[in-house]
Amino acid sequence: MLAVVHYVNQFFGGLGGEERADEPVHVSVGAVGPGRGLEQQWAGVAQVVATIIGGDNFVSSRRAEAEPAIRAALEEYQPDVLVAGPAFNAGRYGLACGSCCRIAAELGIPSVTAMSPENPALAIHGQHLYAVPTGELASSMARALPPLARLAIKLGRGEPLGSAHQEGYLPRGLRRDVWHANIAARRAIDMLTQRLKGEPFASEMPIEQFDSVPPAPPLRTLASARVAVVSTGGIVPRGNPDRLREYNSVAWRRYRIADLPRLEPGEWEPIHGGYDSTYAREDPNRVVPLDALRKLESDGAFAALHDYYYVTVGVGTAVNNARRFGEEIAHELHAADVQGVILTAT
Amino acid sequence: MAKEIERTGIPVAYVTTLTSLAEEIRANRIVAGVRIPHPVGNPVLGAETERDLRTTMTQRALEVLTEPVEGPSVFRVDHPGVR
Repeated sequence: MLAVVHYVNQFFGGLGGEERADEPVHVSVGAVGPGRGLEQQWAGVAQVVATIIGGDNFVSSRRAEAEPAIRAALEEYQPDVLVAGPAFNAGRYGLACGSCCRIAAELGIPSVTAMSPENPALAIHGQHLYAVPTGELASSMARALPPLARLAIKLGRGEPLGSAHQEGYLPRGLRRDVWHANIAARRAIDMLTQRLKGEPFASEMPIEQFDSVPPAPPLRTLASARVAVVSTGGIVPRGNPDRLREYNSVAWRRYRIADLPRLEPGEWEPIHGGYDSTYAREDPNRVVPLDALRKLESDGAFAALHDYYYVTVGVGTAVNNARRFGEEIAHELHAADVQGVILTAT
Repeated sequence: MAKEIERTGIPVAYVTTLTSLAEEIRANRIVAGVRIPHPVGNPVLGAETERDLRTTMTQRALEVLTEPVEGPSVFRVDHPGVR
């Protein structure tokens, strides 16, 4: 029989609600609360040998005390698998479940949890978790337990898991190479045929949904505006002195342009791995319009061009890195009192 | 990057040839570029016409910073060199 350690918060551990959220970590022998429901699902194949109960406040705010206690319980009971939750949409509880799974992983113990896809813990721990989706509220417990119990058995037995879709856990944003009977072109045509016939089909490439940003208020006047130029076109000083990567960029750089009337060919060059650089090599201003900005600046179309130009390479660049570049560059622009940006992309 | 800068309150004129992609990722102020390898230039033009094209495009991008927008909006540049 598989040995399971189960983590629950003070509420599901039967201690009480928010008034008991400061309860320290303690361990109860056998199953408590939802652990009993899991045991029903397992029908003798697995058993909860111990339940770790932690107050939501205690575990989230006093990690230096909570985590060693959780670790000690796992070391003592040496389970085949840890089950944490379900945490539904409870943020602190979800974080505690994520922490437990991380501690288990450090000890070489497989783990699985369950929570709502909206639980903020997934943003922090999601890539490292097998998490079964649940509803927002505890009323979805009955639906959550069967897939959670099934995954726990597989993990406890050390059986390989299939994809998130096959196994019913939340996608972790990881890719794995697999052999497929048909080449991609065949599969694409099949999918297109299915689509044209109105038949159901599953995309292999889910399109990321992007959030909206409230538009920044427009400039009232250009005449007094300090403007900066930013580019993802990979135009850098000759020889790429800072070794910016040609694709999958992980950094941005700033270069001083205060005294330059234009980007001189030969002194500036494209190192972007994603477009034909012939034209940008002939004239880098075709990507970063410094010559035009200088003319407009001297004509008084705007007040001044910022002394620095910001650059990265936008090919194969991870969205989270691009986000970070934007945040970091914005920080500099605010410090320099820049009011508007022209961002050119290739 | 354009979105993260706009999020902090600085308007961004995002000059790109891939305007539909820019709308899809929900950038707000999108200016249509000429071609991917030369968003603000056109090597088929003579030097002088190309400079004029670039000045017109850059001026348009600056003006876009003064445009109130509700969400992703594409601005096109009116110049014979944009083809």
